[in-house]
Amino acid sequence: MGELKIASAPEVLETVGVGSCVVVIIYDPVTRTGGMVHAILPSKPATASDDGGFRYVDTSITALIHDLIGTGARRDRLVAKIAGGAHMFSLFGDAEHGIGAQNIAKARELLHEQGITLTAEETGGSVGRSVRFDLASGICSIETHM
Amino acid sequence: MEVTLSPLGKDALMEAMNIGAGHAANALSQMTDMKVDISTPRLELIRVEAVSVFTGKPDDIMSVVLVQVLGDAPGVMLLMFPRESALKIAYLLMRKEHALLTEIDRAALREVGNVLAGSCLTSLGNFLKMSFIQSVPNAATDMAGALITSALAEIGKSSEKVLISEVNFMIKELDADGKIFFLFDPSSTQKILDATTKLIP
Repeated sequence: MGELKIASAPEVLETVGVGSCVVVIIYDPVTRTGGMVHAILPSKPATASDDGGFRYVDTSITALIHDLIGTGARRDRLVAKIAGGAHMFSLFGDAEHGIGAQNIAKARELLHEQGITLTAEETGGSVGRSVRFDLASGICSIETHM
Repeated sequence: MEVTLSPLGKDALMEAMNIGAGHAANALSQMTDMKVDISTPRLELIRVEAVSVFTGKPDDIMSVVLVQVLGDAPGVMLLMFPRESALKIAYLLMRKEHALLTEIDRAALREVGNVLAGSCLTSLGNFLKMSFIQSVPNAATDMAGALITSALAEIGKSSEKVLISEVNFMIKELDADGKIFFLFDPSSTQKILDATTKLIP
């Protein structure tokens, strides 16, 4: 959580126990290099200290794209997949306005702004997810425990 | 806001959490008619994303009862059982056995959470001379990481740090265990710290 990882095939990126957080995967299918962020909250507040790390969706996506291009990935080839953004507890207001929904909306908005195609998403609901991304095949697998 | 936790302040908070957890354990003991042991509290003021050090394996399946703490120092209380322990406690309370948690079992667990939160918050309020009010309980069974981080994100909305306190409890006779977590944002932490300093003459 609050992490950014970058790797190349044949590695597999993985994060477990994703609730209202959102996982954003950005991938260059040609170099087969990709990265994953597991962000907790939608946007970095103006009052946040500089070391917000990868807690926020907005700053994490920007950092992820920057780092990927640094490895030789090309911006026009980048594609994205997102997962998570569940609404785990009904006590925290209704699902449409919860942190999970805000995280998903922010991720979609940022990817659109950056001109990166969102090829798949597995988001929302009220169930936790574990996410694996195989950099060799570009396949993202999601595990849930009902 | 910035809060720093002095060794003395930390001791005072741990004592407060110990009193709350002690009363919760006592309530659980009365409900189950079994002896309930509790550990000394573990307490840290940490960055929101560093909380995984508390969650154990994030993909372990846990049953959680969540109660929002309202009043003088808002926060979140979580009661977390491994699924097996949740089943054992639910069986004991419902006096029947089956392999999955039914809606009635979940209601029983929510009620356990309700009673434990009530006794815990009342004793904490009496000790600190503060008013704590509890919300209705919410129950969920899922991966520990998904549950805890979702509760934390609510606190993370307004703060970068969180006070997290963890107490383990064990019912040896039933071979069941669980954890009680308290999560408070820095401003609630400061209010509780202020209340503890007033107790020292």
